[in-house]
Amino acid sequence: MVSLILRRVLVSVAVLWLVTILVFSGTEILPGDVAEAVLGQNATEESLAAVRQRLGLDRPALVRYVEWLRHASTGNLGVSLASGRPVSEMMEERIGNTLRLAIFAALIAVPIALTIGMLGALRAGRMLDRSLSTMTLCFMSVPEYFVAAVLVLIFAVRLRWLPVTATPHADESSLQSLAGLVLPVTTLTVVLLAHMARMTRAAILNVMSSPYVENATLKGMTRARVIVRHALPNALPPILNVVALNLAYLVSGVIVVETVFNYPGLGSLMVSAVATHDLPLVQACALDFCIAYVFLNLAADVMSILANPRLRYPK
Amino acid sequence: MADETSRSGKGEVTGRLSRRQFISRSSALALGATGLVDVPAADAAPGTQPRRGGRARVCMDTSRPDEYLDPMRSNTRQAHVRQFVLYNPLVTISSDFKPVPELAASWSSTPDAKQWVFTLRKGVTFHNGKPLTSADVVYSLRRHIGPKSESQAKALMKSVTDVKAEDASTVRVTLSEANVEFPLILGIYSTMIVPDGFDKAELEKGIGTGPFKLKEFKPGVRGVFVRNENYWKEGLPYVDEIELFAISNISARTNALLAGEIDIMGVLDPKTVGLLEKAPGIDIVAAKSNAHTVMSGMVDQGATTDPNVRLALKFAADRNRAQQNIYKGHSQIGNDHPVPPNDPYYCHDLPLRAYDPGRARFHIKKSNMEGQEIPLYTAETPGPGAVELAILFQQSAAAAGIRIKVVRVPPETFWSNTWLKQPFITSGWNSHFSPDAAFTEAFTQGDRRNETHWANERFQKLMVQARGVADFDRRKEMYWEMQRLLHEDGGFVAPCFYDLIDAKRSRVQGVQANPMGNLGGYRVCEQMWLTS
Repeated sequence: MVSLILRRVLVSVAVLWLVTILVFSGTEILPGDVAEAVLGQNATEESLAAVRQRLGLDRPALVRYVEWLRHASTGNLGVSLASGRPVSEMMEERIGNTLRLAIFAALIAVPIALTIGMLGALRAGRMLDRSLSTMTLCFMSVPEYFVAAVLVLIFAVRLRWLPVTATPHADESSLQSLAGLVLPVTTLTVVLLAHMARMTRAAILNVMSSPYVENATLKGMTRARVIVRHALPNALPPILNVVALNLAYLVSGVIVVETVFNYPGLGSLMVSAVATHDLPLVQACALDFCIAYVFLNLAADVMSILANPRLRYPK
Repeated sequence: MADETSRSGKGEVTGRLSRRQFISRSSALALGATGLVDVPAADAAPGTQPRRGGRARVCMDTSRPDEYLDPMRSNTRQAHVRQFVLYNPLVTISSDFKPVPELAASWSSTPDAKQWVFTLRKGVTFHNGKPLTSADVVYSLRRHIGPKSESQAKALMKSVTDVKAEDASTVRVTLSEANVEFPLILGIYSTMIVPDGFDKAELEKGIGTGPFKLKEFKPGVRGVFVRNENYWKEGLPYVDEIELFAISNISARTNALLAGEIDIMGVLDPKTVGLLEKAPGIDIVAAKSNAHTVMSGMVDQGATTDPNVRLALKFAADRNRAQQNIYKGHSQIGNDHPVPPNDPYYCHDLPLRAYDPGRARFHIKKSNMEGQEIPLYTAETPGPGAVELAILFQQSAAAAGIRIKVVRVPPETFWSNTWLKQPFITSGWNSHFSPDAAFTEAFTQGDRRNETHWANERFQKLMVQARGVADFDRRKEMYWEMQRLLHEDGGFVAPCFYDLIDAKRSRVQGVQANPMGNLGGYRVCEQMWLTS
């Protein structure tokens, strides 16, 4: 088991390195550069040259990449080209926000999704299952922007129960900051529920057709016990994978929710960094997201193995 | 107004509603349909006396993680508001574009308008207690001149050759050419006065002479400012504390105002003006401005090289429809030059060019371009209504036999890749403090920002000459001729000057609309008071 994890970690490091090359080349290929982005319409040839020289952009791409790699491997993520502030400082500010949103959304969405999935499998083909299935399909099809807009309209503007935006402030009470998170978390939950619930239901039903489940049923166990005690552990791997993917999305991809609720998270930081061609910041964000995906996938696999001892010894 | 439109694979606009556009429109509809009670909007309490106290939440439209307290690097409208919170300029610009004494108590110039002497106000101190002297002014102004300057105002300050302190409260500025309106340049948001010798890092402490002191600032998130008790303007500011931030999503920003979470918002979508007017407790603040979104054709590249094509394009623009559809009536009609009807220098003699497909067709036939495709590059970036203008133009030009192909480019790289590179584009010009500023910025021969590459000898001559003419009527004559030249031969198709529209809760009073920018020319924080 330990060797398995070690091997996976090594592969992950290689993947991370590859991602940094891809992100660097991708941002380089984009037309324009930081100097143009920062000076905007006010750029003249001289001020562009002055800014480029100050930021070291007049050196070749390969040189800049190697230098960045050298610094990054010692933990120095460099300085943001557009704002001059250390990248680690800019990310620290926002990583807490993103993680808070992600954890709350995960804590609520995952149990509900698993429950819905199991309920659907329990009452497969019956009224409850069909209505749950339709509901999750509807949720999956509605874009986040619309869900967010409707929730804001009802709960913030009309009823005034909750705030319109979720921007965290240092001087607000924890109750206020929780209240601010309710609507974004609800939006995210609605969006994520469907995927995980449907996968859970499908994985369980798939396992339900195997002989040992039939055996358990014939032995007289209730359907509920069969599902929770016997089918679920075997159905876990695909479910865990889906959960891991969704959790990773929560860390990196919630830009729409961040925009609508004015929530300063990593998603909007990366979008703004790409728009200004701010390479060190883009690289740092991309690395962060990549680590999240890799780590969560690894965790999902480890948990699958723990749940199902057979997987510890691959054939 | 960042509406998105669906496009085919080649980037052509197909005119269908995008999903996002449909959803944002239907959300707006839902907002209106859910029974906003139709009571008359609470009128501003008549004759309210300014009341001291309270905490105001001011919300603008954009914020970026790379924002600075340094006024020279003011890069968003929210930043412009912030400059007037922390600092003062030498003069401020009134709603009729006259310079009003601010840190400069008075000024005079030599008869040739090439040397200007500013006398500073006495008794002004910075937030750190240090008194304002001419050394501070000299340092602040010098930051904008010279080849290494990274200032936003560098082009405007190009004619300044020397800034010198004559004594502790007098500063002499020498220009390379005459400019009777020079003080106005010192009223914009980037030419604020900062303490002498403060480098970039120290400037991020936000020490200025302004109405508020810095309490907290997180770039890209928000700024909190408390009243400067030693402010040199007696009795101002009224408000105890200002919280300044931005919500970029326009629906979220409008919702926040409706829900009472913010007190005043900048940049309201014209489409929602009707809805907000009916909402109880909300007032609209609008200023007629000279900012406009235009279509610019280069006179030496592409189809617009031919003056007949340029005339055809100008006659093919349906200005009234642009005013109604894009700006919902909140704009003034333009006549293909940068001076709006409410400007004292506006040329009334020049008849407003109406939409005339017949004449457009005549001109396009003369140029043998009938039926040939003319690409028009656009994005949301240059200004409000840029994309909509292009689409509308495509339709109105089609009736004249002109085939416009609208090419939508990514918004982030518009300035670097499309502006100054493509021959026919939508472009945008912000509020300017005088027609000379507008002419200089966009039409100086050989200047990088002359996007149309228009080079008219007579125009250049008049432009330079007019800067030295103090007599209003003589100047007006010269500006009238320049407007005529642009109208006939220039590369601008300029249909509308959009109004600057903001909205506030009724508890906010004292906001004075100013054509120089949203939120009272960005000066609202100093002027406002709260009634409750």
